[in-house]
Formats: sequence, C-alpha cells, structure tokens
Amino acid sequence: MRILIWLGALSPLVYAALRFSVEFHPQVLHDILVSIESYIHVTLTKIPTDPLKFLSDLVGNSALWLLAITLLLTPLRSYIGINFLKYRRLLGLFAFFYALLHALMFIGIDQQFDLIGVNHEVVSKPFIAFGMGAFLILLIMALTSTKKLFAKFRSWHKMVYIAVVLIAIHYLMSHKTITLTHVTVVGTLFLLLALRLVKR
Amino acid sequence: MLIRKNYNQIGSSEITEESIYYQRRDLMKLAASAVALAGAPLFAALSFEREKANRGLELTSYDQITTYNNFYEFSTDKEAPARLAKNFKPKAWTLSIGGEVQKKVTLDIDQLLKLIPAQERIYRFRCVEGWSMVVPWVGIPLASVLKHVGLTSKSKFVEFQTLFDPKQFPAQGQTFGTISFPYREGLRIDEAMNPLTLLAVGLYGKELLPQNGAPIRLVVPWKYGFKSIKSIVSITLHESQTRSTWNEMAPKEYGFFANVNPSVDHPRWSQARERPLGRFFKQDTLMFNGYGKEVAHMYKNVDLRKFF
Repeated sequence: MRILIWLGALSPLVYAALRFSVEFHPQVLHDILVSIESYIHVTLTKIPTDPLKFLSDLVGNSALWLLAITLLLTPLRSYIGINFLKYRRLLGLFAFFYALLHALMFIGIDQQFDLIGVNHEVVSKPFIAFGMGAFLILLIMALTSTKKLFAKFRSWHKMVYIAVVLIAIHYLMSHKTITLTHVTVVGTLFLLLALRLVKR
Repeated sequence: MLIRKNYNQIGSSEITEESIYYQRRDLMKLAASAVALAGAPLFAALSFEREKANRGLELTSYDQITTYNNFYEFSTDKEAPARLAKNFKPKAWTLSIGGEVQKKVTLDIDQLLKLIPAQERIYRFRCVEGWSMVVPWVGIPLASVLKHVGLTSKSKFVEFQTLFDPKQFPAQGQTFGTISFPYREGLRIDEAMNPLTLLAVGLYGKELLPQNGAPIRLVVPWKYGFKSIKSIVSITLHESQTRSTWNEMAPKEYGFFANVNPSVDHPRWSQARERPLGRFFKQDTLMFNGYGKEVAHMYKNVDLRKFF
C-alpha cells in the first residue's frame, strides 16, 4: 500500500518528465502514448507550449487533490469502515510537497526571490493572499507532523479546514471564467469538509 | 538541467523550421499564383507583400500558434479549439461594414483582398493572462478599409462582432461557464486608423486556421490579446463608446483600452513580466508592448492607471 501511495503521489512528476522528454522517447513509448491519446483527449506527445504555466498548474492541482484524499481518510473510516489513517501523514506531506513546489515557483520564478515583491503581491492581491495563507498553514502542519510535535500541536492541525476554504477560493480565482469543472472540484472539497462536520 | 537540455533541442529544431519558412515563401507564392490560374483553392497560401522591417523578433512556431488558442466560442481550454474547429466553415463568409460611414458595404474576403493588397506584419502578441508570442501575420491595414467606406464626423468608435452560430461554435450553445456571445470588441477611431492596426487573414503565409480566427480577425499589437477579436462578421462605426465583452464581464479586471502596460497590474496577477511561449524564463513586458513610438501619442492626456 505504501508503495502504491508513493507511485500515485509521484505520478504528476512522472507525467511532467514524460512531457518534457518527448524528443527522447523511444519509438515503442511514442507509439503507446499516441494510442492513449487517441482514446482520451489528453496531450502526451508534445512539450508543453507554456511550460511555466503547465508546471505551476500541475503542482498546484496535485497539492489540491492530495489534500482532498488526505481529508477523505477520516470519513472513509467512519462511514465505510476502511481504515487508512496510518497513511494520512504520508499523504499530507505529499500534498505539502506539491504546495511547496507551487509556492516556490511563485516566489522563485515570478518574483525572482525578491521577498519585498512577494510581500507586495500578497498585500495587494487577495488571490495571492489566499494561496499564501493556505501554504503557510500547510507549512506549519508539515513542520509539526512528527510524532512528538504532533502530540503537542494536535489542535493546530484543525487549521486545515481554513486552508481548504482558502484553497477553494484561490482555485476559483485562478481562472478567467468559472466552469462546471471548477464548481465540481470546489464542491468535492466542501463535501469532504461537510462529511467531517456532520460526524461531529 | 536535464529538462532544459531536452527543451533546447526542441527549440533548435523548431527554429530551423522557421528559417525554412522564408525560403519556402517563394515557393508558396508560386503555388498561390498557380492556384489563382487554376481557379480552385487547393492550397491555402496567400500572396502578400513581405515584412521589410523585422525588428529582430524571434517567431513563435507555427505549431504553437495554431494549437494554443484562447477562443471561448470553441472552449475555455486552450488546446481544444484546434480539435473542435474541424466543422468550422470560414469560406462562405461575408463582412459587413456599416453604421456611421459614407457607404455601407458587404464584402467577401476575396473582394476585400482585391481592393486592398495584403502585407506581412511581424508583431508581438501579449495575452492579458501573462503569456506572449511573436506572429508573422498577413493582413490589411484597418485604416485602408475604413478609408474605403469613408468616415464621417460621427465616426468616433468602431465596434467589431464575432460570428454567432452555435452549430459552428459549440460553446455558444452553453449557458454556464463561459462569456456572453456574440463576442464584441471596440476601438477609438484614432486607434482603428493607426497604421499598426491590422485586419489579419493569414499567418506564416497561409490563410488563418479557424482556431486563430479565420477568415478575418483584428490584430492590435499594443493591446492585450482579447482586443484582437476573431472571426469578424461586422464592423460598425458609432458616435459613442462601443461595447467590449471582457470589459462588460469584469470591468475592474479588463479595461476598454487594455493597452499593454507593465506598471498596471491585473487585480490577480502582475503584468510586469511575461512568459514567451515555449520558453522557461520570463521576460520583461514592454510599455505598449514595445510599440510606444507608434502609439504613445494617442494617450498623451490619458491617465493610463484609470483608463487601463
């Protein structure tokens, strides 16, 4: 199970590596990818046209979905009786890992590590503030996720609910129009929160 | 490091393609005249006057320009228009020019090109979202078209409208998750008459593909891309300020002028820098997208922070 989680959680990076190494694909791999492309509308055999946007979206979405899976574990146990809670820390850390990459892309590439610039963006743009707020919560959770510290800071981890709300708003604001897909994603996040609140 | 190396290899192969483009052009002109003789459009090549003043801009590849498109009439997904555009029919097309003009006309594209010969223009193109490209357009100056219909003292603004046909534009049948249709854009008359403003009918020497706004679209290189309306069916001159779809959707985010301006941010993201398509590094965005010499005089007494 642990291996499966590692494979699943790292698959976005494998996908990125696949997209950026198109020129070096052996013929067999290329043929396989082309046949997959013909079944589902997904681009596999082309280097991303807007590479920075591609990477930022990929790691941002990966963080969102891994966090959603992390949140699913408790309702999974209480409603269906499947207990995967021992993997919660690992999944949560993977969610944080992608959030870290997402934030680093903004701080490093967008703002070129100019912290005054980062601060200006956070203060002047709610869209950035929501994302950064969520990231700081995940950062605190990641730093206090060892057995010893978790025992001490357990109640702090309730902040994840705030993080999810911030992420939902940040996600909706990242698009020019709100489509059915976006509503579905945000609906899923709120459903996961609701499942926990109802239980209490 | 590894990834960058891979990327560079792609880049160089595509640059080769672009250099061939210039040799290929003579061939295409030959082909175009052959087609004209035969009377049947076998080959979607155009004849045009070649751009003389290439400002040393590195062209974005034809593949990138034709597969990465913001065209909400097809989809909000940038890779979808190339796929969804197969049923689009840009051939039987008429463009109506009316409103405050001396003579109203309705023309097809061939008639228009006979009237005003096409020329090539290599322009920077900057999207409000933060990406950019360099496109070798083929088109005719809008000013020539407007001179042809004749302006009056009441010709103060120009409104453009995209085709409304949900059969050809699938997303126009949608009610949720998109913008309002038909798409409309507008220019002030001096902007419309500026020599840079182009009605494009092609790119890379070939007729426009549907995903790029076939058969005729606007190109206003010093403004954000959404001003450069695609697949135009009507041009109407008005005395008062005209409508602009994105401006109406979100007036705090998209201005009527929408001049490229690195010092006025979008409420959600900075406009100071941009991502050239196909590159891993951002570059500085230029005031008026680098066309200040040609256009800055039109905004001398305008507060560009207020009228963004």
